[in-house]
Amino acid sequence: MSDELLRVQDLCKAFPMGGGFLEGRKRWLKAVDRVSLHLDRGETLGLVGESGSGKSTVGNLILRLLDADSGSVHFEGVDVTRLTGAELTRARARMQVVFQDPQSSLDPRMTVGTIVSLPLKILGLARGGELRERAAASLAEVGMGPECLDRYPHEFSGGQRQRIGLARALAADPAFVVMDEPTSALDVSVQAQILNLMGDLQARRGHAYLFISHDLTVVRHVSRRIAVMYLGAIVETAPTEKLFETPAHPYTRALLASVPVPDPAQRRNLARLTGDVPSPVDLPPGCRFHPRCPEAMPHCASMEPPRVVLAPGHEVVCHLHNRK
Amino acid sequence: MTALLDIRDLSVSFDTYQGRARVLDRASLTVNQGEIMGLVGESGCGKSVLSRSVLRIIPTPPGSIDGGQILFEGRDLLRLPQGEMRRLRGERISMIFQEPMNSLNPVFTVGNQMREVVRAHRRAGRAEATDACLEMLDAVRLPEPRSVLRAFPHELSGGMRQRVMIAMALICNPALLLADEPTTALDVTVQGQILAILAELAGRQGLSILFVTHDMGVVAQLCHRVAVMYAGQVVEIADVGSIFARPAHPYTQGLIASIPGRVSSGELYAIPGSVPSPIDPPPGCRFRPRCPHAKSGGCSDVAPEMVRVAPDHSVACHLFTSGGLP
Repeated sequence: MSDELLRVQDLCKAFPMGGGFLEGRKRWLKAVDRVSLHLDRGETLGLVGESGSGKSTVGNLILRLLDADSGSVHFEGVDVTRLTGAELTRARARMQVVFQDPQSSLDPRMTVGTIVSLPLKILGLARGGELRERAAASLAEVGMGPECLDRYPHEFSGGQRQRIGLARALAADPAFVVMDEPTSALDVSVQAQILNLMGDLQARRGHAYLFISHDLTVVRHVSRRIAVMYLGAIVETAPTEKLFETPAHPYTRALLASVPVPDPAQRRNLARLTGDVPSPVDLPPGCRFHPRCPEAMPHCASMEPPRVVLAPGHEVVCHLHNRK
Repeated sequence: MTALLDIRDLSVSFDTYQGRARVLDRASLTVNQGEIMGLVGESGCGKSVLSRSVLRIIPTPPGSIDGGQILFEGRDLLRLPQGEMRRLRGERISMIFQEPMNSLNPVFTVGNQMREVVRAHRRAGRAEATDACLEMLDAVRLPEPRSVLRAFPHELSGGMRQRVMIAMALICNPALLLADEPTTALDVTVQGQILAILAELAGRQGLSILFVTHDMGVVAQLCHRVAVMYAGQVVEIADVGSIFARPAHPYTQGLIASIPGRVSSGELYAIPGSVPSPIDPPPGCRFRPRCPHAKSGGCSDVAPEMVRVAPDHSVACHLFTSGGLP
């Protein structure tokens, strides 16, 4: 395990709900519940789940944009959750993020040059004229010319703005980039440009991605391994092709079966699950998926499912696979 | 088969600060009885404007319908007096939108809003209207329809709200449903449920649907025929099998090749460049600046007309106009 870059262990985060003057008793929304994952240098781990599954919160916790309640995040051997001050800044220079909405994640009053060079300035990696040079170099890597430096975000299309976000993330030469739904706001032809660019940059610079998305086809395309989240917990982790060929968790199976395949020759019933994702406030007891699970057994409602290793790298949290 | 909806050469423009934007340029398509017609294209291609024009709900000004016909059951909707148009909306033609929360009134219960639809279109007592609502909520497979009727929109999940919208749209048993990206805001497992309901309604009740979407996967799973739009124009119409197996227009080919997951890995095809501005579109074929087959001369001078390449397959591209490129 010499090339392990990131190891997340039993990460938990709950947000308080209510508890105000009129809201009655304080309740807790368990956004992330004992999440563990790891990432090697230069690899891409896909993190998929539906809205409210806590996948973005995991990204924010790893980056320390949010503080975890418990658990650890070892990045390059150091526990990021315990860092402060200059040490935290140093760690952050190595981990960057690209957000979903390039409209709101770029300051409309800054020029593109300022936006892209800001991490370098804040992290103290460059100053003066060098800032502009490094910004231009970073933009060149994402296929944008130096004439963009003095223009503003609104002058660019969605796809170009996402390129600017990528240039900003890569300016400080990070080892790890969280991609939080980077193409969800883009059209499919532009999405293809950005996904190709992401792959090229990774091949050239060797950074690792945590690719957060609700879109299974996109995740399949970019990831070597995939972790599936449901209501704050990872229910299955597997190498990409294994997950698509032999999904083990009933939720993963339903999720895969619900994806509309872009081939009219492969029509199928997409209504695999009934009901919506329940609220992460007051989680159901036992397995959190049991109220919607087509294969639920009586003890699923009372007992927490165990983590079962099916094959190297393929783990599932489900009673169905518990052979005792 | 006669067309239920026949849109001919529809042109719509909007006044903007930058100038007049021709958002729809002589767009034509038909929707047959009991058919789900997919209308696909990227953001800004005019697909939503087209569907809204059918109900005449685009804001005028700044918008204006400059020409064309929208024939529905043989009558031109663009020439219908306001009163008749209003009767048609909700009764013969209904619409559902992407974000059901924005389409429901937050301060009234679902029952209140649904009964209003019934009673706007026919003489019905409260009890009779309630029965109609319950029946419709059951048809869209909402559990416990009575408690849904008593609920306020914010008490329902996104999937439930979209089902309420479908129930409300179909309560007067319309002939045509305009669906503008109805599952885009929903999670994939919930999207699957909604698509299954729509497919069943079209199959069982002969409902026709114009389904606007940018998701080619949804098109492949749900639609019978597909119209592809690019920069305000309909560039290709075909049955769903032909669109995926034998796309004729270079734009359609690019659109399909850029979908992830059709090839297992490696580079995706990305259409070079970006969509032109509707204020100053390129002359001739609008796709020419991005087209791998574009030739100087013909493509940049003459706008291609729709030509038939197979019984149910038309395309607007000079590769297929008689004698090839002019």
